[in-house]
Amino acid sequence: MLENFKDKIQSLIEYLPPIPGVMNDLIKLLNAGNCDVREISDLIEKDPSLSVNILRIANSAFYGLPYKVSSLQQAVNLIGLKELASLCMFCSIGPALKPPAGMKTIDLKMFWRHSIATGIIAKIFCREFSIGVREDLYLAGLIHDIGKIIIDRSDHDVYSEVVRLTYDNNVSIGEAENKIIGESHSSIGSWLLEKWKLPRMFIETAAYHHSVRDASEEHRELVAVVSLADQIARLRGFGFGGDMRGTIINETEAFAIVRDGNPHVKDIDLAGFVMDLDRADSEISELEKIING
Amino acid sequence: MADGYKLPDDEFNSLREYIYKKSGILFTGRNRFQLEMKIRERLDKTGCGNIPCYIKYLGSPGSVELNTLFNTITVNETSFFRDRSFIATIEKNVIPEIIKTNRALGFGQVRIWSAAASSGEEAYTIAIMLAEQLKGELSKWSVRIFATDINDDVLKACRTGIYSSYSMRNAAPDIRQRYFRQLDSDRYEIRDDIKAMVIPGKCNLMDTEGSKKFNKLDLLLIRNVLIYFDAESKKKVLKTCYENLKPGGHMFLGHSETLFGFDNDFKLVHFVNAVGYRK
Repeated sequence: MLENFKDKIQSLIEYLPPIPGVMNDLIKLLNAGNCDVREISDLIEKDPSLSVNILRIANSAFYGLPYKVSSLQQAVNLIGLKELASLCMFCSIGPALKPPAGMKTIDLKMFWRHSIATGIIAKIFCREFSIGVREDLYLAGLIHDIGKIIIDRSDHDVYSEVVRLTYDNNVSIGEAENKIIGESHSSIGSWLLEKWKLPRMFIETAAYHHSVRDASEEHRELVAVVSLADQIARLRGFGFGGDMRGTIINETEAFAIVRDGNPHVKDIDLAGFVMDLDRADSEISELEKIING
Repeated sequence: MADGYKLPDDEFNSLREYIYKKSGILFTGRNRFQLEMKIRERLDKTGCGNIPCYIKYLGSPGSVELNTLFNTITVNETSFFRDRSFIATIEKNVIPEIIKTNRALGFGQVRIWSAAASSGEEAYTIAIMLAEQLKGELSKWSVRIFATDINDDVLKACRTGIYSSYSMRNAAPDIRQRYFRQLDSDRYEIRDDIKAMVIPGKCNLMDTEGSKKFNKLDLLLIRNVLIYFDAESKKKVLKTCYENLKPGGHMFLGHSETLFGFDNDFKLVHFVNAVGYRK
């Protein structure tokens, strides 16, 4: 285990480039909970690539809107303000964490694919099995593993060793991190999101997606859905890491929490749901293009 | 004839639902074309112009069309190391677990049943994977892989242990080299010590008594077979399968098959792109 890794990471988070101004303003809007159409449109229009990306997502299979939207105003009317604010965050996070040119990193394409898939699977799961948590799922999915990028940025050689350990020993990435670093991507991710002042639900998603019971009652179900989707994304091969272990999904803590609030979930066809997830492929690749710029 | 045939979405969805309900085989966007390729032939042969008519025909009294459809849509072809995700799951998870558990018990014993084994490629594949992981210890372990089928002809092929290069197309060159002896340009014979691990035998899965001897199993492979049984028989076969496994033992069905909708005591285990059932 590495000494002082925690200090090293915390100072890295301190010195990471600040998040873009637009994103900062968006976070304020998200936290305030009552955004104004004009305010958010003005914000988005300040960043032309952001407006283009928002319209691309709004018109993608992801929303399946009844007609093509061509202005931010139309998009707001169809998907709602809060959703739009989340979407902006979604589009800004990839560029905000882009590594400096030439820096060695983990396979970021695979990393983002897994994160995007997690959000989309969470959304499909809730839609298909009538589970109330729906808002902000893709953003929660996108940021759940963000700590991994931070560890990697802090010391790529150390994180490569963590990844290698998961392949060689077929263990979870969390076990490998604890063994080598003594700290997990979950807590490190939550430090970053706290620094960025993201709404509590996202901080908790990053912190507790591997220990769902520790989430606050208010956000526990959302964290549980993301945790389930995270596992399903791995089991569908939308992934990163060499963890090939099997999972009895309906015996996981996350499943139990979702079932507590939605008793009908105990009878769902999990095998069929997971097998049939190739229907998410086009949404995933669409969002990947946006995140990877 | 069937090339490029496409079903309208609503017809594909109603057909896939019907097949899933009757057989537990799930067609998804990814293998949709396979169903579309094959269904055209059945529509032509039965004179049904569309799927609603065909579904009605499938359910008509005395119709044997359902069986014919299953025969058409399930690929009965077998080969070494077939189905990459399944093979990776067995190699990375199942075999290491079997070895670990039996070693901890001080047993050095493995019992596996490949039910409906056809000409034995699956059983010998498992034997090779075990040999790869047991390495030098192999000779000290007692490994029994029962390879049963109802068909005498395929069992004969299984006993000879001689295969064409086509059935080994997914086996890595070094596996071919180390585990097979080349007899001529196209025939390969499996190594004797691997052959000794596999016990071919005739078995009708509906014969509960006869199936009982394949017990205390670490692993049971029953791939693309259950679809041929009606609900009652399927329940009976599944009960035997469950009883024949050791606690913690795994059962694997065909690539797109699930037990959803069938009363059973198995735990559903998801692996990476593969589904298993654990006792």
